[in-house]
Amino acid sequence: MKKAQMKMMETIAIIFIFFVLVLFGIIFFYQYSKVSINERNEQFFAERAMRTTLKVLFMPELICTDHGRIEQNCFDLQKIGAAKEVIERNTEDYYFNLFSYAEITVHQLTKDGMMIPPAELDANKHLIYSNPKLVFTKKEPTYFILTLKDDITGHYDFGYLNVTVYS
Amino acid sequence: MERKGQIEVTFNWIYIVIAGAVILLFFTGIIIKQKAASEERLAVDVVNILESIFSGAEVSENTKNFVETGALADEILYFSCQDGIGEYGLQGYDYGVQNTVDPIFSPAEIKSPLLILWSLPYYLPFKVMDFLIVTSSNTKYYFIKDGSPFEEQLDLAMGEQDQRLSINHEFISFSELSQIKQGNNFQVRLVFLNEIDIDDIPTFLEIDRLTAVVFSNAGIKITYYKRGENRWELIDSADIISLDDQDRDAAKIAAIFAENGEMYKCNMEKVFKRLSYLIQVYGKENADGVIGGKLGELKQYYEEAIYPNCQSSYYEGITVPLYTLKHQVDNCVFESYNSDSCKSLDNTAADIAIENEKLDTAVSCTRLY
Repeated sequence: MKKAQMKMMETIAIIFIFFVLVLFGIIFFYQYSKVSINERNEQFFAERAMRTTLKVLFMPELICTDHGRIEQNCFDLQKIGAAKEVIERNTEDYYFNLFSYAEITVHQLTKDGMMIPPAELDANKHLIYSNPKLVFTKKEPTYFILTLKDDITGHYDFGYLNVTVYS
Repeated sequence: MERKGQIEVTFNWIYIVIAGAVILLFFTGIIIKQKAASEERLAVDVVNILESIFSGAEVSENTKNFVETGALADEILYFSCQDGIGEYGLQGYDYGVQNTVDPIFSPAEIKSPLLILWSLPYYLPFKVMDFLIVTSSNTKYYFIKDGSPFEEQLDLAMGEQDQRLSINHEFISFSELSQIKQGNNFQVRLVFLNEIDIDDIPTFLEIDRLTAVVFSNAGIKITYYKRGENRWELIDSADIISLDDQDRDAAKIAAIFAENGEMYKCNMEKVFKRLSYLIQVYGKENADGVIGGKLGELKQYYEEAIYPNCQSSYYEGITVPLYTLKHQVDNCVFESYNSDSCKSLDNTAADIAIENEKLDTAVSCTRLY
């Protein structure tokens, strides 16, 4: 009787240790998967940020043209003014599909070749698209230097593009 | 004693078998789950990577890129577009990317070690979007020579020094048609740049996945056929809306690569939707009847600068056809691609292009675009 009990206890102990080891394995694998999924998500998120910036940089609604041909890394100031209204009005039915949760701002740094004083920078900021996620886990801002063309005078100024994407 | 021993041994074996089965079942379950998860992950990864590649390829206008598919060479990539929603992904997996913005023209299925991506800008009359053409190294296009300027344009556009970027194509005469072979190609398309009676095209060719496209009405209509049993079956057709004076007629070239008229029209509808918004940026009509957008700003500037030539030119020359274009494109998106509004778009765009050119050359005003 005692021997059988001992044997039973031994078997239970072996099974218990076995399942403990399996549990450890599962926990380890779960943690590893979690980390690798997070890494993948980070990577996809960074790619989305880059992709969104790229899309903005080549948007026909904003880009400068010279005799119909595009000028790279240049935004047309006259178009910017008009585009922000159009984009705002059609965010839900079109532009959300393009940019998802993001905020796109063009900051003008010079005007007629002169640096804009810091106090006036906010007045020369153009919010092109604003659809931030209210409860977000991550946000990634990207910046890009631009030339800003006044198509009437033909003058070029400097500015930068800020694209912030939310996840 | 012997009986007790027997019971103990039997019990131990049953116990071992049950425990073993449970353990085996447990691990089998984990393996099945992991397999499903890793397949799902593969599909998601591939589609996400493709999305990034397509976005990059699309914005670099007039360029070709190639993508080596590596381990996915034996998988089938599918592309579709219906009711304004494009979709692509790996066939046989649940995950695909839907896209309502970017126009992607491609065969319905691609199974290849090398994808070729070609971005072409579309103007009507200003730049609207970049078309993305997706094809593969084993999708062959046979162009039946007609000596037209479009043939020359195609010949120049498709060839590349780097073989990986070169579209798999060949210009042949009609008489050479009967000699074409499947080779290593997954699919073959015959492209007739001039109108032809479909029954004149041989059907005896021993080629799988053989399709044909025929341009007609002086190149402004394309009809899609597939080879059926001993005859060519009509799939559908589509009108081509583009300006004539372009080096690379994106709308016409894209039509060659689209699987069928439905896919072509679906993608073109995406483009026209964007055009509608773009026109508003250039010059929208405000509720009070005042011109807005860039045109509004230009007009206001020239009014203040007391420059009568520009004022009238902007107003009469550009505004009216721009509003007409907006009206037509809205109707085109709302009604259908085959409506008269769509067919009139290119004429109105040509009027705007002429007026825009005049602004600079005749009256020295700033161009609209």
